[in-house]
Amino acid sequence: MGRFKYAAPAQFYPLAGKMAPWFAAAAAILAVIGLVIGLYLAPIDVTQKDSYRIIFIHVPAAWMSMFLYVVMAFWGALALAMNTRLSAMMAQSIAPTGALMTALALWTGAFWGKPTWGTYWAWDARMTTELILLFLYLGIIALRNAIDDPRRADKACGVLALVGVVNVPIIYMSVKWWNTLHQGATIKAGNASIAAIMLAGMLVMVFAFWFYSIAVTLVRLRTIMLEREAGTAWVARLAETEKER
Amino acid sequence: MSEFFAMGGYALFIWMAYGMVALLIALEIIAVRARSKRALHLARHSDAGVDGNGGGAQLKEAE
Repeated sequence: MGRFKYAAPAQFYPLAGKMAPWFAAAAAILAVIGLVIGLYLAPIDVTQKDSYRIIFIHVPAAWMSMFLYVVMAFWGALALAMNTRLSAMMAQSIAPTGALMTALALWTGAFWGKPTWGTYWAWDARMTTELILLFLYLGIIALRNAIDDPRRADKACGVLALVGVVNVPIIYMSVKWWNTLHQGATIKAGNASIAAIMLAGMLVMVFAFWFYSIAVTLVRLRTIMLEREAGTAWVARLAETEKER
Repeated sequence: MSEFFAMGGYALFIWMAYGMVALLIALEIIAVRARSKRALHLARHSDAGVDGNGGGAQLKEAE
């Protein structure tokens, strides 16, 4: 079995089950800390007063929306290249959470934009490419639902994910390449133009969102494994012994 | 306390943003748990298919 042991759904299922609660607990703890910092401990901003506090959920959601897409595209690519079921299931598990993060990034951004720029929305490069990311996620989910054969759906969704991944660096570089309403990068290597406690709160929330995404994805992955591997011996054995959650 | 919720006059924007995050995350957790429960239930009663139809050859249950 060696290093590909956990490529088998039957092997990864229990491991994912053990991992998920730890990520969930870590996410919850970090979220509490992050929210205390963001909503209470961090001082007001000179120009934006309290309205800047949306940064503590907007930036984590936006980073997750991009990061999850790349991870999903990676697993999709692996599934296409190696024809592995679990890689495809992994990509399938990520899509809904990625879509959620993208939607949250857009929503929280809109409610930050209104008091700051006077508008909920603008068709600038950053916001438009993030919206395109949402359409890509939804397209991948819709494509999955539209194709009856799961293995064909795996391939189709893998290709769409790969085609769409070009959007992620565009989102990232958009504020540098074009004149955008959206501000430039707050965190540059070596010099963050942001107060230390605000940066700390943001990083705590980034990890909270990250661990939450991992936990939810692992639980969804286990569910997808049960759905797609129904009828196999390991699922039958499991069904007898697994406790109701 | 009411000063906290007022958020310096930006209450609408901050709580609409934070509120939606809380709501959608709660909904996602509920949805994943429901799907997980359903999948486990179907795995236990393996004569049912995921889409509601029979998973395999449909034989009348001998009663």
